[in-house]
Amino acid sequence: MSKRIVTSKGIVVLFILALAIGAAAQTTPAPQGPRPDQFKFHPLVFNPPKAAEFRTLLSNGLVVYIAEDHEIPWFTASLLMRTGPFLEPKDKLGVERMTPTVMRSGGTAAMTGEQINERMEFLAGNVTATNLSIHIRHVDEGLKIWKDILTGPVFPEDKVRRERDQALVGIRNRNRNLGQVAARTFSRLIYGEDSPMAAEATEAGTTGITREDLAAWHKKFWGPNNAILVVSGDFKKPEMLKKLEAVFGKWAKTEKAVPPIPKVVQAAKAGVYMVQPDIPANQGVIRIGHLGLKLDDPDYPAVDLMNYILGGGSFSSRITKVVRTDNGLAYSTSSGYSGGDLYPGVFSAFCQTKNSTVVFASQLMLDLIEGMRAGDVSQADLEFARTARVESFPATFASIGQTLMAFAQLENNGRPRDYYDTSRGRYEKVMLADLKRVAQKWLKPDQMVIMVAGNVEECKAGADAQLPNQGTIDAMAAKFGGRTMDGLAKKYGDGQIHVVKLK
Amino acid sequence: MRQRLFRITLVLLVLGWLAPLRAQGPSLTDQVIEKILPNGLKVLMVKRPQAPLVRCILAYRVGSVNERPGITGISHFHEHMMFKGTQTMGIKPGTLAQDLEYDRQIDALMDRVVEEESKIKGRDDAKIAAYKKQVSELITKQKAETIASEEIWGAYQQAGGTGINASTGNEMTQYYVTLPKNKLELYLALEADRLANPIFREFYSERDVITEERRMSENQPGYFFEEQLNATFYAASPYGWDVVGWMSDISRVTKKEMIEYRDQYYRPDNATLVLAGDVDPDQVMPLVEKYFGPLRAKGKSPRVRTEEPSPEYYRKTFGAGFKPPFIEKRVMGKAATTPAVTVMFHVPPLWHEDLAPLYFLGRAMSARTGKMYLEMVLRDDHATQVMASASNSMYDGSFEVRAMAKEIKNETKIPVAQLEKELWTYIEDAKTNPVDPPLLQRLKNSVEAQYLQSLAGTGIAGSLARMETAYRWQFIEEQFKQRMAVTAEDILRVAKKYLNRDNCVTGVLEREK
Repeated sequence: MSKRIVTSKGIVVLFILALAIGAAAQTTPAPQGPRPDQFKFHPLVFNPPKAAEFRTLLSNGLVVYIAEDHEIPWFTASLLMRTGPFLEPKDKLGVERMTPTVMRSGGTAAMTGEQINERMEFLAGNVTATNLSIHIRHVDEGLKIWKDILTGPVFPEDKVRRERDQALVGIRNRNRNLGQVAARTFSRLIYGEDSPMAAEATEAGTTGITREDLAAWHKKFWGPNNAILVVSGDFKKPEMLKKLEAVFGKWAKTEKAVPPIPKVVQAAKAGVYMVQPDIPANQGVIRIGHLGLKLDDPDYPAVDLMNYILGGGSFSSRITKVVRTDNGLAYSTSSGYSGGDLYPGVFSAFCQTKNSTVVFASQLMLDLIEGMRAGDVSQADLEFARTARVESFPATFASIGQTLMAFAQLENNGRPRDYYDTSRGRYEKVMLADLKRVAQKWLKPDQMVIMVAGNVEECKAGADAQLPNQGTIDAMAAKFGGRTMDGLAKKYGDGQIHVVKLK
Repeated sequence: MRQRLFRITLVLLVLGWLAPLRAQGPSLTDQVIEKILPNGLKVLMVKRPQAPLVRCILAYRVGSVNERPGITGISHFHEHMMFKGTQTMGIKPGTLAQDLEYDRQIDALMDRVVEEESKIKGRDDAKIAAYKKQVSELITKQKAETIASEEIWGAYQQAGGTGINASTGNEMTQYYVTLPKNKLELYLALEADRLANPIFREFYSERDVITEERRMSENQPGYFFEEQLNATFYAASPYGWDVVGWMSDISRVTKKEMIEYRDQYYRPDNATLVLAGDVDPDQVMPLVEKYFGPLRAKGKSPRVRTEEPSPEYYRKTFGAGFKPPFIEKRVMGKAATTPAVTVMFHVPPLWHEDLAPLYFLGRAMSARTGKMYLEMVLRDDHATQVMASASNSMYDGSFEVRAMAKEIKNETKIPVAQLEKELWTYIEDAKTNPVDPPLLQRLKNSVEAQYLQSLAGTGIAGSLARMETAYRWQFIEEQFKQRMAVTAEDILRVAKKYLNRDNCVTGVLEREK
């Protein structure tokens, strides 16, 4: 024990030496402290639970994921609705989101929304159109209220109007939020403004939404065949299943929510796009990317690991280390490569930085993307990313609730039921050659959309001479055609900076 | 008589609600295993063996409340620096002496930059540029030769860590990660090492990161207004500045100041280690002792001495008969966001007997079944949201009442000045009429349910860290009991005592068009 005290004294001495006389290596004691590789860990065998242990069906076909959880006398249930904005009438976008809110706030034939508030407050539970959380003692009453909300909402005019008013305020505020402007504009550039992935509610459309629209949407899609029920709590499973059958077993089927899946092509050509939000922003939000791939693509595990190394692996990723740690340009910077379930997802490198460093940060990210494409990746990089993914696997199943939700989401997204049994294996199969191959194939300079949301004039002007790291700024400028945005427009696009209008 | 009958019914209903909770297993106190090392480090362990994981938090009793003008934001800045490494982490093997020498030269140059920049007259920009150029060159060399960046974070990722991060608040700074249970020894070794031996390399680029973090907040419409409102409310208390600090301080704080600061607060006797999950205390404690035991106790960290000069403070200081001067403060502003009226009142810290009634006053005023919501939002449609809540803070805090204005096409439904008047009618009402007994009962049911839920899972780790830091962890349960004992009369009493014009600041935010 006392040995360690000496250790900390040693450091104090070390500091004094270093500061006073600029310690030469030979006068410095050996460094004291741990290295991760000196530790041996007991192996942790973890086999993921199986979906089949939890999955069952009610007589009307409602899929239920259910498990006992006796930690506290509580009951929790969620309903995943497989509707999605892609089925909404185009002139009335917002119906899908507003329907469940008004189902709850507007109440049922038996109880007004306010009566539900009061009763649930007394029972100290919480109910929405898609959730019930309540003391197990009151579960019968809670389920009855929830079932009424699900099957018999009345959509009173007053509550519809309120929801509409709120949606309109949201529409009016959305161009005053830097992050929202960036995300929405980027979506439009990738998918096109008519795509269900990017289409947005308008003031006129929202004003036209009536109680009949919500009632019709509810009637059309809110049925057991478009839902997955997730239930856990302090109960005996067979008894709870009987209860659920009694409550939800007669819930009538509706039209099946089958999304139309048109072929998706990237809307915008490669190049530089800028958009100015309706506020005096002192930072620009950069998004650089293009259309990606679907989750069931055999390349996906390799793409995921490649992106982990590039910008998805938090502080161990190249984008974070270079843009944030080394150059201090951003608090928030990363890249994502989402695998879509129905549509191809998106590759997007992200950074939010002060106006004068927008071009510099963009160049640094593009340089890392180009480097990855050029094959600058090692076996050690691959092992790091793979280990992080595989070792953190048990966290997917950290609680009963998370376990059930993980399986329900799989089914809701149409993924194979043995996804988790095979996912570690898919990662273990990825070789270094695969990483190099997918970097070439799935990072696409000829489709690269470079978008900046912020003060257009200030952001495109580029770095001034007062900034630190002038050496690196110069190096990037030499590679990408100068310090201003024009160089990137020439290298990746048609030479123009396209200013996009707010929507 | 009717009233009385009603109360009896209510008691029966309430008993019915409570019965299962009372029958419920052991209390929080029975579930927490507490150990204190001879050097003062407090270790709290909670067994939650549902998954082979452990939620790990190391919390220090330090936050922006411990700062002073000139070094605001230093607690948060320091939190970032704790990821920069030690003698063995964050550095290439065998390069420690060289690394320290680089830092010495960089620091000396940057001190000159700050000195030059702080000159009121005769500031020499050419000199500043020359220093900065030298610094850039040194940093480039240091990065190439000695630094291995983000190794601590990376080590946790390799160990299968999730939820890796740290956070700084007014009163607490905490470092956390969830790890597979077989990785606990690595965790303890790395955390003890960065408590004992941190090295603040990469100081200046991290400072720039933090300025970007602050700018992110600044770009949220309404941020500057909220910051000024808070600064006006707290004239003396260090709660008056945001955790991130004032920009001018962030960009000038020196490494020497940071080392002095950490020596005062980063001590085993100012820290709490919380482990919740699949943890076996008999196996873990020897490891905690192995890695944290050798660290030396350094004595109590300084506490905040400044008190906010509220009317209550004057009465306390000059005697109950003292009549404080009447001072009412207002902040008026515009921003590109929803107009709102906020009234903030000074209230005591979390351990004070008035806090439990103030808590219910907040819950009652903001309840969806309370008058303010039913009338201002539902009946009159003048507001879209109403809120009221008491802070639960280490030192004197605030009770905040707020109404968000209803807007139709960018115009508020009623003038904001009228919204303020209406808000005050509900504040006055709270001082005149006791809370309806059925409402109070509903709120108590909810408090009891929330307490029950808070005991499940590993989320308890965060509550333990927070309460132990602000006061002591046992107070989680004591506070719950205090709350359950509150009466409508208690609530009325505290409303009269604190919800007064000379005890508040009013913030009126209109829309920037």
